[in-house]
Amino acid sequence: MTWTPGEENLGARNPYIHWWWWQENDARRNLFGDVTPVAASLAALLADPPLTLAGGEDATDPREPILDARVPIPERARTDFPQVDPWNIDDIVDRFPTDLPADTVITAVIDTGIALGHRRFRDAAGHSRVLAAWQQTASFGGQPYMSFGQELYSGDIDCALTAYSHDGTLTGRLMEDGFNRALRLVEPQQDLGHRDLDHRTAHGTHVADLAAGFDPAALPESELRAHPMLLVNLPPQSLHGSAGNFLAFWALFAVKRVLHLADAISAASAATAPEGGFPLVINFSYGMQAGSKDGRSQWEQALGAVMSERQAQGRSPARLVMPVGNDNLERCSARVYMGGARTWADADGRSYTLRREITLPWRVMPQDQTSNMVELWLNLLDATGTPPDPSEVEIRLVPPGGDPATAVPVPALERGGFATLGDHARVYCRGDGSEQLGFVLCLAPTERLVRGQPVARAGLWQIRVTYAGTPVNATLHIQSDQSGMRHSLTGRTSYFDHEACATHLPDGRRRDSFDHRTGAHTDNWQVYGPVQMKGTQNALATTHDLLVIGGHRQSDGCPAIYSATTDRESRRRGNGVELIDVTYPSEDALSLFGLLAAGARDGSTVAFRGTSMAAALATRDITLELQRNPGAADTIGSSDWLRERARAWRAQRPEHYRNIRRLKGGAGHLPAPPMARTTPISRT
Amino acid sequence: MPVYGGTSGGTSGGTSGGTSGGTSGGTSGGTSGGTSGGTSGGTSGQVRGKNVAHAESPASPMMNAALVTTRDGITGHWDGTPSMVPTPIPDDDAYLDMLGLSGQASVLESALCSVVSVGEAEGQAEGQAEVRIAGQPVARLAKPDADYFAHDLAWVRAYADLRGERIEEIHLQLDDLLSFFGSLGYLGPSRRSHTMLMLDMARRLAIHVEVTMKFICRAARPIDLAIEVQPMIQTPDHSSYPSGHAMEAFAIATVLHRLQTGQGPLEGIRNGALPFRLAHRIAVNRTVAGVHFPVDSHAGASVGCLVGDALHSLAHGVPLPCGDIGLPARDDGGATQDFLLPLLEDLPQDRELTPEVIGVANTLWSKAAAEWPALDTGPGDDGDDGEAET
Repeated sequence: MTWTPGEENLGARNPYIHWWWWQENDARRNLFGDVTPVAASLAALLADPPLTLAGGEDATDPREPILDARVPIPERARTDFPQVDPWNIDDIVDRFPTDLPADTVITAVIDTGIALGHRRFRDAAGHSRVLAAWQQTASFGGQPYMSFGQELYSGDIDCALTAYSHDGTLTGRLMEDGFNRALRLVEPQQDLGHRDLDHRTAHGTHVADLAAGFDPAALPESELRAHPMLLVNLPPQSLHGSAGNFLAFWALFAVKRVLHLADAISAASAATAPEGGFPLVINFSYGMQAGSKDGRSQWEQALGAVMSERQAQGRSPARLVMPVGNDNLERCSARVYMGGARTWADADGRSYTLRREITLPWRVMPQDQTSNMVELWLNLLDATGTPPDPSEVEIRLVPPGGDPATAVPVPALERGGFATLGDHARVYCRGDGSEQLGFVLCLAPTERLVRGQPVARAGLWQIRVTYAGTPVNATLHIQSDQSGMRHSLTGRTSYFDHEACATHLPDGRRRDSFDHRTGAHTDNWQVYGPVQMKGTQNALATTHDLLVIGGHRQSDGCPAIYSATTDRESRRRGNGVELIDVTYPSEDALSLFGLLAAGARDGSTVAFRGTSMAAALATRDITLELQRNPGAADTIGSSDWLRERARAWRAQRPEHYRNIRRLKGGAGHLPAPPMARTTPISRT
Repeated sequence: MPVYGGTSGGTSGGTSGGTSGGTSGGTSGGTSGGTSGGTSGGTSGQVRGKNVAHAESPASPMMNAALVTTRDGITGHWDGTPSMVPTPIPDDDAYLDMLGLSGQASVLESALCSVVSVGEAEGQAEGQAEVRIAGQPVARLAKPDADYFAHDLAWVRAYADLRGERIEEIHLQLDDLLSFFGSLGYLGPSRRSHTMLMLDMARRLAIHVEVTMKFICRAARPIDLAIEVQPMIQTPDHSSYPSGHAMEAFAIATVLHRLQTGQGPLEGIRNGALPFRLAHRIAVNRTVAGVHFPVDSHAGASVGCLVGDALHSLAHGVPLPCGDIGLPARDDGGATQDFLLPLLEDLPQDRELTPEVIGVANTLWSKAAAEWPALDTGPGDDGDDGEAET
């Protein structure tokens, strides 16, 4: 079997989406139902008037640098109108209160499965604090300015709260099944309907509660009014793509919409809003594993453009908070210095051996119904150099049982090009995003439910990379991988199964990148090989426009073992400062995992663990501080402010807390902000 | 769910096993039912809560032999004449106190089942069941057609997504509902023994009704309509429609709610009272499991509320609101409705029947009601219309 060069050049198009339409589009191949491919360009997304979708199978892919092409949107969720109206604040300003207090801080949560009926998102009288909520792929709500989905406002929510309460009042017990279905928060009768809130736990509700939930009986009404919420319910997991192929589209559109809504809210309360509008803190507790991680991905560039435009307009800063990620232990990241020379010395004079070849074992699981992808990046070690040419890199993707020495290499590619092996494997050379040289290695699922669909072999593949050019840090990341169905185990993540990569320390403890007890570095290349925990940070969160939060255990300050470790080669802010800002709690104690917050049903409590939770606490902390210091919105919530806050807190932290190594914890710990629950949980 | 753990096993398990023993014994066989029932509710086994048939030990050949040899050693000559004055046996229902709980339950069950019956509705198409009290029809239930079930299958698909998080509930609810209702108010032999008896009676009466209803309606199960259903529990061999779990759960909920608040089922459902929300969840779990359609639960719940209410009416001689049970409406495209609790706010109550009081039922209900001392236990206060008999 040989490699066949692709006939087209993708240019700046996203290879993940190209792969999806080749391997995973067919509704018979996975769980997708009736969707319409919609051409979506970044320029259109950023434009004003906003995106007008050109639908249908013949949709032409724009040839400019784009975020994506042909995002699948459920037919019933798309607009009924031939054209989408421009986003005009005047169309919605009368939906918002005119008398928000001057110290108002808007909290926005972009997630999946965010409930709207929970008491902790309402005031004491039962009114919703949610001023607007967009359900992106709910059946179309008929709003002429929305491209898809349905946007609700507090009035709509209050009406439904009343209609579905047992006594017809805002304080009566809520019939949540009826409420959720009436507002299309769940659509169980739809193939691709939102379903998260039908389950016991919902990630978005838990995050929203941590970030902005308040016990209405515990805060004065005036203080609660200063904490309005904006929510965006992302599509259900099935529409993200198993490798998050479309996540950036949904997320960027959500961010743009949130910014517009925040401006409308400020305009409605023009009499009290500060110049530039009320401060806005956005929580986006999502992540991807693979990417260039240099702040130059299409998502990050687009985000940067949106934020820069906002700043240029003199709007109040919008703080975007994201988690550093939970993939620390997943054996999904590898790094090796490569080049033609024998050694390379860094700015401090430390010398490193360069390798011309590396072979990495990649274990692909059986009965895996989702594709598997690895990204290979060759990042210059000397930042001022010219990125290598693709022709300088030889890649061999060796099937299980094959010999890397004799395997046929991938033919030389140009940027935007690709080559295909049979019907089940492909290597793309990225022409989108970063200027650094990157490749995406793709394998078809190892199990298909329909006879005749292509499958890749399960087992131990090998990736051999040969390169003898300018010194680079070659990084390989296995892309995030999940089934389209929540809770399904059919989307199995692959991992680098390297013999040197021990999962445990000699004393039996689970290995982290640093031993928190001793401070020892336990992720060193010489002992544990190229598969590293360093570099597992969230690929969506490596730009300076946002805050990156790690997790620690509240009882003893130990960093959460799953919390990603960053790498020192990151270019964030150009001075090598580590990507992660600070850590907030993501675990309670050794015997009590995760953090407690709202479950899918009002009044229920569930435990969730992860840096998503830490990020939500950071959002809360920033929001509370902004509310207490209305005039300091330009400072509060910036990365520098957050780091300084952590440094200052060292003097107050519990005595038994130890410092976290910087690559793991940034500037260090910050405590959980007040939760305003009526029954405080004491740990003494 | 019907007691189908073996005819003899279910019967003897219930009789000697006591209230809770009969419930689980019938499902899995008399042996285990008798054992567990005896622990908590056996005739004489309540002392120390041990599994006993004699004063302090279970029945066994060894016990029999020991009693023979002991008598031989201690009794001496006896010519067969009386040597004691027997304890007076009451002529009224006070006699029930001499029977023990399982005996009381058996008497009540027998009385109820002789009055409540199910048969084919006369002059109607096949598959129409009719509930009767003392021969008088109180409700009819007609099986939906095949197209209805075919559309209802979409809900089975939708609910299948919830299976992973309901495993424990579904498994335990295979044959234990009372433990779940026991979380809504203390249920135990120490101080709510007669409440437990009445709740178990509600369930037995529901089983008595559902067995024949299912036999008449004989509807296919979800597994019969699509190979993709793949239920997470074994599909029972009897009719899908109506749902036995729904019928029993709502019968229990109706009786419990009446004991706790004095309110009837309609008021309880409209207020979203917890017993009904629990019953709803138990019913829905069967759809999650893949063994029932939502319409099965709607029918079962409707009849279950009637059964629970009938128990109250038979105990007090008060009017029983009733009516024929229809199907939830479908939309223009033929799509069926999900089984949600507010759907039961349309419980059929277009007529009423006032049955004759069953004395045993009245006595035992009063004892149960007295276990909830804060409530007005006077007969005739059904709560639905707010008027109490003086």
